[in-house]
Amino acid sequence: MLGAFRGPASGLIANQGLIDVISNNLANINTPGFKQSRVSFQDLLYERTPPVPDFSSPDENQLTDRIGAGVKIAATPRSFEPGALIQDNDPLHMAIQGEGFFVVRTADGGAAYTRDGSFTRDAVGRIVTRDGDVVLPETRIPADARDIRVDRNGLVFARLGDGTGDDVEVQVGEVQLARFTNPQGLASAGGNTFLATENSGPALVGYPGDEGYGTIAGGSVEGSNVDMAEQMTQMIVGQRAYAFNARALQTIDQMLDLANNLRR
Amino acid sequence: MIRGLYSAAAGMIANFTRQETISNNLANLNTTGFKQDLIAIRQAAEVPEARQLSGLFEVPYPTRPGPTPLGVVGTGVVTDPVAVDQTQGDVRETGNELDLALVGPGYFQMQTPEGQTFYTRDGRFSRDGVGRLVDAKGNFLMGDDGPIRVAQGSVQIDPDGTVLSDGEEVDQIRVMSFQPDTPLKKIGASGFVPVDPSAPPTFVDQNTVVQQGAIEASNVDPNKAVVEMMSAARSYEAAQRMVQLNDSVLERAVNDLGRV
Repeated sequence: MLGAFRGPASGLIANQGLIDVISNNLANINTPGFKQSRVSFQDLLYERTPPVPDFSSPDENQLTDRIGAGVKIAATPRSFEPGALIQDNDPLHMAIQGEGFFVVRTADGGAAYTRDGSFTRDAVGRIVTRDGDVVLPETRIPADARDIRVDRNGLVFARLGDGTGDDVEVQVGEVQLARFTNPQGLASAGGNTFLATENSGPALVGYPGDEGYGTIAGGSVEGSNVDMAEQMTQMIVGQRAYAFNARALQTIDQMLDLANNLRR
Repeated sequence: MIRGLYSAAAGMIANFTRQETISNNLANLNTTGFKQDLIAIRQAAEVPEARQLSGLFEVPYPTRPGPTPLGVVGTGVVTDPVAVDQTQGDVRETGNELDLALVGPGYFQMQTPEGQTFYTRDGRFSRDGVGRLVDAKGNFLMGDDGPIRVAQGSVQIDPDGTVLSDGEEVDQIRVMSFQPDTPLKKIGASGFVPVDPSAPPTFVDQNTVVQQGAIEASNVDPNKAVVEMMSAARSYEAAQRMVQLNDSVLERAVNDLGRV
């Protein structure tokens, strides 16, 4: 009997989860390379409840009152739709146009993947993310490099020398891209990075501009792909669904109160 | 008198079951491919009523021995088995290439990693590590050649379920449907299996269109559900009053009847 609370309670929890996910999406509306999540709900198991005995029914087994136990969040897959390109003319900022992720080496030595191309140089000239993770393959840009630019194939060019006139542009580095069979299977590792999992499949590393890989837009970053209008709509949907479940919970509470007060 | 108490209690139990069903529907207001449960309550069996004291105080009915029959009396209310409302839910555009909505009476045929088959209308798929199309729990979407696998490239799905990858035909989604009136039961996670696992042959449905980039929303109508909920709560309340009334009549019978 008290199990009746489970249905609406699970609805409250699941819709709270939806609001949480939307809040996180909205909080990251200006985070470069951020990919919004969506929530998928699933109904829970159905169980047979003991029916009121009906002696007129010929076959007792015909009574299959199966009452559902409510709802849960099955998954919060990310949408890997591209975000808008934001040009900021920072020479080391890169945006991927098309499929792929930048490959970076995290502090613990493992590989992580990101779409956030707001890179800088560290003290020894390596291209690093804002968290200091080294972009692979590791490159060292000489300290005297000037006029750095990144072409669409991810090659990093710069002019070297003291600027006396005849320095030529040389390649000083490159970036690679990784693709996944199932990007939605990637695990979020915070700091805009993702880790490969069994679900995502192994990283398929290639060069920007290769078949199936995106190209690089230098001097730009990829904006967040959070769609404000969609999130606000979803928020209203979640809020309303929450209210309906709260009402159901309240009604069941009132009914049980009546049962409790049967004997005055 | 005691029978009236039980009839009223049956009213409480039946309306509580109704309430549980409605709250489960409301909990699944946003569940993709969810089909709402319908619960009907109906009158329970009628039993013959006879004049109980006839043998003691009255001349027995001339032609028949035993108590004098008076007619029948109901024994309250029972809930009918839960039926699933299979009406089409709203089709909502999402733009994701692996979101599929079915328009028409069919189902996607799914297989669990353990090899069990079930059917669903929840068409939010993604690819697993090797490119098979899977649902949120990792169950495989079945095509004519087993689990559908699109390792690389874009996916295009035609209205008849043909899966094309970069323009090349890969497989065809098995959209199945059941003979009309085949009872289906829910197994959770928007899955259905036929109640009788052996009997109903399923066949590829020709009248169902697969729409890519959309999902089928839950077919729960919150307006109706809330009205139903109010009705169930009030019916429950009325039945509760009847229990109390029966109780107070019995109280008088017990305490006041013998008093001179």
